[in-house]
Amino acid sequence: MVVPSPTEVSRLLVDWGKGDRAALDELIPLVYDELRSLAGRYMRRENQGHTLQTSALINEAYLRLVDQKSVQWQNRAHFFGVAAQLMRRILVDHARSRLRAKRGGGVQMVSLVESGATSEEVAEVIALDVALKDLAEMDPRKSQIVEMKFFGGLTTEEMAEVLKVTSRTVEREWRKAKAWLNRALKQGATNEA
Amino acid sequence: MKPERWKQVDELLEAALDCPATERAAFLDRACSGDEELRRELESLLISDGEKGVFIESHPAGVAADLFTDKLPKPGKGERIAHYEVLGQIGSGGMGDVYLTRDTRLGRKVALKLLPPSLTADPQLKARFFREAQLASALDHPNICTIHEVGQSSSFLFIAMQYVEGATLKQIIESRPLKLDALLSISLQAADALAAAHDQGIIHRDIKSTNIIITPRGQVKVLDFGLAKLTDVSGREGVSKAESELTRTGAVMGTPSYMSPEQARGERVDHRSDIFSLGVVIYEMASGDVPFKRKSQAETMNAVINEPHTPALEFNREVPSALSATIDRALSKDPADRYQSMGEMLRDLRQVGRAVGLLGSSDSQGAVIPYVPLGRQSARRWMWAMALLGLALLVGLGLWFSSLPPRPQPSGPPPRAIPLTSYVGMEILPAFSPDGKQVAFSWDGEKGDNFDIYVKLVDTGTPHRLTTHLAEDSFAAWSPDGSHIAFRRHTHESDAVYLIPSLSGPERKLADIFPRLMGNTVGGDGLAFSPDGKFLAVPDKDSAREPFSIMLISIETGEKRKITSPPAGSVGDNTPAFSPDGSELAFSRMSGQGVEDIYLMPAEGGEPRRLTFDNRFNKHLDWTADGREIVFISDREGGTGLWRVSASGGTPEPLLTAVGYNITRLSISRQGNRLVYTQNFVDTNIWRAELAGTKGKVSAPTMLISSSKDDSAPQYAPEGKRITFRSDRSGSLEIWACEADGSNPVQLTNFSGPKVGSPSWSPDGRQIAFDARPEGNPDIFVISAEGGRPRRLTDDPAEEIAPSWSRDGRWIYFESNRNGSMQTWKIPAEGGEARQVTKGGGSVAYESMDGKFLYYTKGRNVVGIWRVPVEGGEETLVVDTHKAGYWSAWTLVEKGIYFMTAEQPARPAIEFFSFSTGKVTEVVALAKPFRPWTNPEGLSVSPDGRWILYTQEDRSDTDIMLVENFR
Repeated sequence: MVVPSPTEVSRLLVDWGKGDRAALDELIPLVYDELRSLAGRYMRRENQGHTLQTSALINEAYLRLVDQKSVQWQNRAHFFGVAAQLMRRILVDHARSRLRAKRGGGVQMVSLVESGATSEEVAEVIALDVALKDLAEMDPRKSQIVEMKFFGGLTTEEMAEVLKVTSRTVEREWRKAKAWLNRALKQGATNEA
Repeated sequence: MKPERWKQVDELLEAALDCPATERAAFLDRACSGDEELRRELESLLISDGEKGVFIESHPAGVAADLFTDKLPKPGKGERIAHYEVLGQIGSGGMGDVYLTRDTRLGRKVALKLLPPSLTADPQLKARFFREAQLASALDHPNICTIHEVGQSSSFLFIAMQYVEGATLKQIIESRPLKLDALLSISLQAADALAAAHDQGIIHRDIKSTNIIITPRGQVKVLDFGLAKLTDVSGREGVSKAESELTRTGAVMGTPSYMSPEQARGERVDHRSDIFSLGVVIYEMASGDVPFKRKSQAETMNAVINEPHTPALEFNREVPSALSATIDRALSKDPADRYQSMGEMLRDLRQVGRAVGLLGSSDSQGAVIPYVPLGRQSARRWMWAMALLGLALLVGLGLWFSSLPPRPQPSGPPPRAIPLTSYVGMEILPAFSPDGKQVAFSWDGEKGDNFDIYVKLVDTGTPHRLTTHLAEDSFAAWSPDGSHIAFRRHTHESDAVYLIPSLSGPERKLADIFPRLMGNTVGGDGLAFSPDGKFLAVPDKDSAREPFSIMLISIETGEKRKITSPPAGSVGDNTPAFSPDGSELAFSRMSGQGVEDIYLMPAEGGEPRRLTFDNRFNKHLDWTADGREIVFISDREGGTGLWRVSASGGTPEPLLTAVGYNITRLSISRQGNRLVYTQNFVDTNIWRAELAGTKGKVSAPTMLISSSKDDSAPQYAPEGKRITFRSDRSGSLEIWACEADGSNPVQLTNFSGPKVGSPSWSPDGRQIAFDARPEGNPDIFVISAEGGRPRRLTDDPAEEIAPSWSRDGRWIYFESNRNGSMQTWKIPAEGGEARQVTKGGGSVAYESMDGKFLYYTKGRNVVGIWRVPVEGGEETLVVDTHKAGYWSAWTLVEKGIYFMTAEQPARPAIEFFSFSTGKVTEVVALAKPFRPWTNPEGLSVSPDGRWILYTQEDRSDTDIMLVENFR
């Protein structure tokens, strides 16, 4: 993989910030590749519990990809917004291939750790992805907030920056989105059963 | 639902959520007014809002981690695992596959052993793995394959090991006995490696011929220390499910042929089990095969436990009987009958080595073991050689090998430092983030104009700028959760401690602190976050007269609490560092410039315990990750270097020295394997400016005395024909002298130790007084202007510096804190009793030309030059514009005083204060600004008044260096 230069990514971020939509199209694959490769070789942090934090991953991708001198901190929020979207894609793809493997599909993916929680979580991620698509059709902003918070680990302030709304609005939207998703996910579970 | 409808629902939902719960029903009645569907929708959403515990509330981390870690791909060529790029698979062992990789950071080849993720699933097992492997990675022996790093990627636990080219001993033996030379060399090296490990309390548990690599030149490398325990079926304590599964797979069962009987029985083992296994390996080299080998593992184990072995002699008559006896003893069934230590076995092996001429007859315990190269196929084996070449040739080859000069054994690789930053300007005060992946530091930027806090990933990337304020931001310290960085902001008026999110964001001022004076040698340095995240430790004080104490500032309230009380008259306590568990605080206590020692105290407060007794520059410390040692910077052996000392006391040991550089600050990652420090390269030179040119014309200043290093503190000889100065061009700071035109420099002193300086010429031009620190604390010395043996003039535990002669040559004035404060003293030039001259503070002093007055400054903290009658009396302030910080950059002539000034930092100059007019005029505009941390010591005017000498910093570069695999 050709590693994009920090200036290249920075330029795309700045251009996109100025409203150049094509810049985003160029940016997405670069960030996606970086996130995926980072996720694949992510060193777990010994001192901070044993979890892979998506926000840390995104932060690292940001530090790797972006030349900090040429971008504003607002650009960072936008980067995080995009990264959260990509993180969702990566996680959901992962979850789906995992599910296929479990069902004896063609994908050879041997799981050595078979914890019950994992398969449950896998199903949850996929269910959330589906529910979010429904939500996005009615209310894209709420869907984006959930995406940024859950998959990207963005803080309320960062989300406010991305969406150009107040933190209070983000919090209210999050609460309502949660109420809707709670219900949708529960209904989904019932339907399946 | 249609977006329009949803919009309606959404608005009403928001309003309903704002209603108190008791009023919601009424609100819904009103709002829905008959639209039952709308009401049901809202009600169910409100119910859902009241429910808890759907997973989107939880942190997504667990999901992500699980998703990423359950996959076990076989890494392909070019793929990366952490910062290792896979080049190809080179083996697969019981515990996992081994890959040849390239360390992308250091560019070297590394063998990477990947362990199955099942290990990661069980926290107990994983913790044990890290414990064992980290213990093993501390082993430093030429015959032990170095473990560079033990780490974890999303899919693997891995061990990064030194990549050793060579063959396994098993491959070399190939079922045939080895030549005696080779056998003994390998046995001795392996035994030496094991003895070293046993001394560290590490048992290998899986010594076998496939775990021993022989390099082409015959060096032994023992592999896989510390791993065996993980597969050890006998270690029953706390065997978890995953662990027993791991051992059940058989693949990791180990090889019963090399097991000791107690191991085969599943009993606890100690180091004597390794002695047995090494006996098996030596037997294998001597006879061509292992002593116990049966059809099944169970039968083999049974043989190990119950059956006697056939002596190796019976397979190979050339085995000396002493060697056969050594093997037999090692193979005793009962550990009590074996050698009781590897050292004991090593002694017997050495005996055999001497008897057959591999080792010299005077060979002692510590002598080097010669390697026997194994690259020549033709010379490797007894049988093969005998059959083909005949005995005569064999003897010839034997002699050839035996007469090879013993190779000096390379000691373990010293820690190697590579630049982490090498930007223009100064990158200083690095601090590792808690996860060890980022470093925060202070950088004066590409323009070199303003220090701000930057953060950089260790592996890659450009630095991310956190602060932009015009003040000097430095001393970054991470909060334990990595979310914030504390730093110090220094302006001309004040210092304060701030907090900023580590990913940028608004700053928050926490507390004002006493301004640290310019320069890094005058105290007040440091900032440390307590591991519980509640406090910052920082040197602080209420007034200039007090020494710095360590204060704890509460993160929550900004309140301060003083926890140390250094003695009055000292500079005070600096560079605090909390132990990793937060229980202790280490700091350096500074009694004078460059006179510091390290202390430890309970972090809660309490009596400090002194750890070093050097009276030298000992500071900028940090704890090792295990909390057992403190690494610090010291000039205890000349140039600054990194040293380590046990937190429980003892003699410090050198860790790393960087010749020709100034090491100025360090930080150790909490993971323990990385260390960063800054190294400062300064080139100062002595310049000459013309004060009174012919016919009113003044030529431009010229560089008179220069090297690529520190040349400073020039002084004209009384007749003006020579100049004395100090320089570290020969490796350490020494006193030098040269002609007035800078030619013919001669080194006068040879201390090879820490700072030597302040040379001052006697009025008759025959002697030079100076200060030096052969025992750490500075004293005054005198040396002949022609060189020779220096004569010690003062011998007081206090700090005594900056000598200058009385005009009649009978006295030498100097600065001393022997009575608790810095005062000017004088001592007969021939030696004798010293007398205090000043009372209200006195530093660098010069007697007036007529010998009636003494002019002096009062140290860095006080602005001005004073004078007092030599015979005693009241002091008077002569000139008050001389800036603190440049306290030694002035000189006295008959008509006035020349001094450097930095009143306007952008316009440094040499100025002249005229005694007759009382006015200050600028005489030389200087090309380069002063750096606060260098001391432009010494101005000197030629006796004819035409020239003035000064020191200028012509180049300064400070970079952050990274030491990987620090242990």
